Amino acid sequence: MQRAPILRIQHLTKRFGKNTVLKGVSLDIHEGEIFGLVGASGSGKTTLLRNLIAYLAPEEGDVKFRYDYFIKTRGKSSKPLYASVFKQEKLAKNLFGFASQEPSFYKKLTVKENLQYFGSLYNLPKKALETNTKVLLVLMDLKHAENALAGELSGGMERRLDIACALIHDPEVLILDEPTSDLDPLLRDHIWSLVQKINKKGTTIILASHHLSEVETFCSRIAIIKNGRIIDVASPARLKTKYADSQEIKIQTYPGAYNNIAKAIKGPGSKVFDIKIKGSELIIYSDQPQIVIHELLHTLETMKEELIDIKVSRPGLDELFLKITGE
Amino acid sequence: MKSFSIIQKNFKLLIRSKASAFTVLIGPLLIILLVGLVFSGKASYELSVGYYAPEKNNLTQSFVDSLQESNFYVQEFSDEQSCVRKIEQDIIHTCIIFPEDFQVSDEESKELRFLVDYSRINLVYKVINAVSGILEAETAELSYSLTQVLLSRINLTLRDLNDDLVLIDGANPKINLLTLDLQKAKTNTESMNLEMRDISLTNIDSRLASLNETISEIQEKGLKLINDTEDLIEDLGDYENVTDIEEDFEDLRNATLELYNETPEKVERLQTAVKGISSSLSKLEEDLNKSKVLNKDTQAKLDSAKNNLASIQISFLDLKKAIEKSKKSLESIDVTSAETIVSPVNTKIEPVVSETSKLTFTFPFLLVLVIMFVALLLSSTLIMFEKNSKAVFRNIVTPTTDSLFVVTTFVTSFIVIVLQTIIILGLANFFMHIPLFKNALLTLLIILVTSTFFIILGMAIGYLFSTHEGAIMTSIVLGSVFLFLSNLVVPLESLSPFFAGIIKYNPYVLASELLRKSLLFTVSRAEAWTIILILFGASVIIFVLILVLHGIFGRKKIKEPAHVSEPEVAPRLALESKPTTRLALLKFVSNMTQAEFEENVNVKKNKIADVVEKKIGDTKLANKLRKTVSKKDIIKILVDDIKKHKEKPK
Repeated sequence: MQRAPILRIQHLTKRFGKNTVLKGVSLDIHEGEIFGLVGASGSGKTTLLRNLIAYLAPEEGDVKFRYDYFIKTRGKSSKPLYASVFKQEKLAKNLFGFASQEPSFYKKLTVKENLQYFGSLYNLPKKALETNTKVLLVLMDLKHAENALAGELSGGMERRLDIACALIHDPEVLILDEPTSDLDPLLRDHIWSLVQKINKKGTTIILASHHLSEVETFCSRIAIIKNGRIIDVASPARLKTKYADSQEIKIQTYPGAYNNIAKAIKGPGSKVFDIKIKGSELIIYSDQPQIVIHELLHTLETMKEELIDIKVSRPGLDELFLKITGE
Repeated sequence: MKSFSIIQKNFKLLIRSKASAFTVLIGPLLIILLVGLVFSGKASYELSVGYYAPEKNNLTQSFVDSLQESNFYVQEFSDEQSCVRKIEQDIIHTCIIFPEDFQVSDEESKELRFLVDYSRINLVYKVINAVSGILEAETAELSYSLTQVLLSRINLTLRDLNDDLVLIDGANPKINLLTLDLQKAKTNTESMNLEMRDISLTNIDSRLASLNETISEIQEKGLKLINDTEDLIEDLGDYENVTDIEEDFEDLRNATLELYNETPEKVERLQTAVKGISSSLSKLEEDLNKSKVLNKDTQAKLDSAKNNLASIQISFLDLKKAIEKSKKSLESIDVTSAETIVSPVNTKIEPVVSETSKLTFTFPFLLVLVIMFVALLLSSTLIMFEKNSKAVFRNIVTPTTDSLFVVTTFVTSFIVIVLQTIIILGLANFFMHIPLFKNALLTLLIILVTSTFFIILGMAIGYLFSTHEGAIMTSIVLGSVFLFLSNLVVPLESLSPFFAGIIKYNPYVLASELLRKSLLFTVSRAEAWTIILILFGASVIIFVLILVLHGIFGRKKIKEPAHVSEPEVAPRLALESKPTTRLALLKFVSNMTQAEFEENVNVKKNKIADVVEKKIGDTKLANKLRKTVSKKDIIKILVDDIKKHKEKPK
């Protein structure tokens, strides 16, 4: 049985001047889930996240959080109690930990000093602060750098420190805005494993990311946002089933006259739905990939294109996202 | 706890930001140290004075000596133009041109010319005051000696006049006596009878003839007598004693005869004598007649002399009066000291406080200056640290009120400034002997209120501006404006009353003037409290404005996400996912800008090699790529590898 949402976003509308960034967004975030927020640049992801923590106030709608978490009735009350984050801002801020796109800490303070400083702003008792600091230094693999100035950390360590700062008060909900942007694959893997570890400890995680493949892998649910509206909310698998009606053939050739290849294979009666040139790859969409590959190999031979690589797969969330959002 | 943590964090940020720490923490102490060294002396300005004297004499030399004695650097020039050139080159500060034939005389007064550079606005008046003061002193000394000579002459004249009066007084009785004598002489002259009675010599002759006849008659009668007597005697005949009588009669008769015989001769001689007397008398009469004329003339002259004497006496009296008047006039000169005449009013400048060091008087202004600049810069810097720090977002998302950040920023600045002020005051008291304990409480209160005001003003600047540079520049400009419109640079009294009326409320002027009075004098409570309340009231108003503005605009300092043009993922970010073949990687690397390349490949990391290892699975190639950080080399390695794989396709 699904637990009651920890967070209820209700008809949230946010405007900046004449620009309406969020248009009646409604969502429920469940306790313990990793919730992914996916959208193009300027779709309103960050604005939505900032509304959750009452950093921005909406023109309409509300964000409600489980108030009973703070009145010692957690687990006892049969009916969850909700309060608006905008009316109970102080309590709400204790509920959330937030790691924004850019690391948010003092570069002139050491790792430990940053953790202790931000912990003190949550009024943590000294003992709890010490304990949380130690735990987080180990959890985030920053113990060896606890006395290093934050400004001297590498990109991955900075990100880990930022997440550690967001977790210092042991929040119920951790919000991560583009947690792996700017990071190399190894670091991204590290961050995702950390996210999973944090989630396993019971922390609900809401994240926005450009790396849709990663979101697909790690999130239990995904909301797709476009122009301030939620287009769909579902698990990645459900989204794929719902929207994937073709497969994709990715090829790499030499010398790579992709425009000519595309013209050649997308003739009348072709089984090709769509063709895209993406970087050094030519991506062909079709519901009958075997026929298309046959035609393609013939064309390549005719055009004297050397086939370097070829992959056939179901479209990833990237493609689905483009399809869903119509971009 | 929160407040303490925030203040502790502020201090750490401040100290670890070396430039800020130096500027804000060490800078003011250095300024005070330097200013202390500069102003601690009591010597006058070291001015360079040039002079050109066409003719050198003792007078010009005395002026030059005076300047040298006053520790001026004095340089002589051969002509006026070269002296002026040195002023233009800023080598000397003023040029004194002595006139030709520079001497003290009754001819036209000599003019000393000063040539000064008015473009050195802050120095020119000091130069003029200093140099002209010395030259005026020299001129006064000259004037003094001349006046001294004049006065001694006047004293001598007075003494002579006194002697003259005594002489005049002595002459008067003598004139009177002389007048009397003249009067007597005149009387005597008048009383002289020069008339001669008529003496008839004919009568004398007749009388002499009568005398002669009488004498002849007497003779004849004598002889008859004698003869009768002798007849008598002879009649007496033999009388015994008749012989003697006869002899006697004989002798008598002989004597009478002798007398009778001599008498005509004597009468003749008498007649001759009478004749001589007669001629003498005639002459005497003639002389008397002449004397009569002369006597009359003498009398007239005596009258004239008498009149003249009377006139002289009157003149003497007039002279006496004139001398007495001159004497009185000279004696009526009250001021008889040459020094007083040269400088009738002595200007003596006495300090109302005992301290003579310039620093003592400058110290209050300097202290407030340091407080002002440090407060403005420090508080605005702290605000900008926060605003420009990426950490500010995390501060905001914590359950901490905005006002606490505002207050803790204030407290941090306040602690720094109070500590600095304590150090400065301690040093000032110990090394410069600045009196601090005269009105210790009031001084402390002024410093605290001043610090509060400028800290809050600096915070307001910090909150109003979006860039650190803007806030710092504004702080400096505002501080400079306060400084420029203060007594430290231009006396307010020299400004127009309208502006002076406004500028007197310049917080720097209010604070520094009050601190000066507090350190040097006794300030009335009313005045002190008025200024303190003005500063405190202004601080409260600005603080409330900060809270309001912070409440309204505080969160705008976080850059809102771009809603339309959020940047696309940078190429380097796609490096790991996009090129999964050698050829794609080669194209990707070729398209990289140098900056992008250096971000991905440097001494610490080689993302291209990582991609080759993880995505393409060629560890050997990856290791080869890791050996270089050159884009050219990496492309060459990749091209070689692609060629190699072409030769041996999988």
